[in-house]
Amino acid sequence: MLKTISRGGMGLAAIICAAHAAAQTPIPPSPNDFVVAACQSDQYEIEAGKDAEVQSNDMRVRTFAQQMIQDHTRTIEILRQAAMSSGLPVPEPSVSSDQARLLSSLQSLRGAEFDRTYARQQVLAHEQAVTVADSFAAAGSDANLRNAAASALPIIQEHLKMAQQLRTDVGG
Amino acid sequence: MQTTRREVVRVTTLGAAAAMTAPAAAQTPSQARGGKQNPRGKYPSPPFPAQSQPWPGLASQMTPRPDHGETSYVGSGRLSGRNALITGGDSGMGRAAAIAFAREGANVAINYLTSEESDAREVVELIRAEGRMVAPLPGDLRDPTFCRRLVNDAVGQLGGLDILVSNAGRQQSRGSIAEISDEDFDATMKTNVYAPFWIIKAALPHLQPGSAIIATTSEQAYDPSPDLYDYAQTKAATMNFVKSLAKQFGPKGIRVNGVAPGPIWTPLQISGGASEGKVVTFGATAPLGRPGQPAELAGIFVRLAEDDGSYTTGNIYGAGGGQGQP
Repeated sequence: MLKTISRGGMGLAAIICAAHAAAQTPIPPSPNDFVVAACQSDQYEIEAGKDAEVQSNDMRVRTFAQQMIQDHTRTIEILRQAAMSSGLPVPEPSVSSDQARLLSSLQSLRGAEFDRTYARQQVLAHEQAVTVADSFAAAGSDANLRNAAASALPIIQEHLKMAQQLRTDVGG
Repeated sequence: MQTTRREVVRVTTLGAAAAMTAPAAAQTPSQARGGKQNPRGKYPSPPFPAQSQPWPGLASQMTPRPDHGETSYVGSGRLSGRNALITGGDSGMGRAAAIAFAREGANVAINYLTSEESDAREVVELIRAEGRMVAPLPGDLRDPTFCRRLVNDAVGQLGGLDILVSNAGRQQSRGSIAEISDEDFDATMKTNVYAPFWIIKAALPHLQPGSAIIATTSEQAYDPSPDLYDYAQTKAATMNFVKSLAKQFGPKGIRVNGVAPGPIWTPLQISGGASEGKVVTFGATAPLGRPGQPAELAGIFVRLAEDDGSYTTGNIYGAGGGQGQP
């Protein structure tokens, strides 16, 4: 039960209506930006998964991590092939500077703290990956890459569900 | 009230569909002093709904709406008798500063782009509600003639000027330097580096001893992101001119300081300042686990403007969520 905002005018209902009506769908990235973002996302999943294999003692986390390594090794290859077919540069393995920060914070953790942080990061990372793949699959300007995005999307959505379940299981 | 706020945050973090919420519920003014809360849960955490608006974007259309302190900031006369000009005062940290300044007793002129008029209207009403004079002065800071007129109009309408907040900024994420056009680079430089030069120069003759200049820099000045090559260097330039001007103006009794935020939830981010993916996880890299809200910086701007901060000049105050800068 939220107090009505008294100063400056807008009641709660008005704010929710405004927010509902107005947030626009994102503009898809350029094909090159999509390739970079999606490859970085895959690479981050592989590296975070490898950290989890070493640093987690929880079987649920390690099983999840192994699946991530397996699936994302596959999707990054599909993406690289699609990029080559479209005549785009194939990125070297790398992660974004934000992902590097997230990996760095994981690496200093152990035990339950690691598990919780890993699970929380996995939910966020897959939310982001779904957004990127979805917007490119829907309206990206390269047909090859649209297909690659569309084929990756159900995998990523499944991962998101798994990550949300993991987060419920281990907390975080 | 604590339970309510936690409920709001939990709704927000449950995912895109559920994450429509008013700014985190605020306490009534009489309850807004003292005590402590877990900063992690105080405001919304990622994931945020994927969203984008054309530049420059409106705070009113963000999901969730940013909190600029509309319902929470309580003043105590710290800036009574003062006259402030704030660029980018329609949204983000400029808006938080405008609201706080008015509640602390100052008259406030705000500059913004004409497409931000609807956000600016809300700020104007909030300032009027405090019984302070307000001067809405829309216009594009990339034009030196407008910048000079802006200062003249602020001085004329408020009856003086003794606080200048150079806060308006342009930020556009570009994965590679190769993707930045000449026009793009120029627009960022004009807004973030040239405009402060023109405005400070025009304001100087009006600033009496005891006046304060506050410029918004960024953690980007110290630890730039690879996709903000142009923006980040303008923030480094800002951090640097705070120090040179503090030395230059010390003998005049005019203080110059900077504010360096970490990731803050403002229209800058959803109108191209962050990539669409980054918007979803915005603030996740911060040790506090979330982006900051503009309201969390208001007190810094007040501190740097008020007379009680009289020995602080040539310094940069941060609110970085734990990422380590400044």
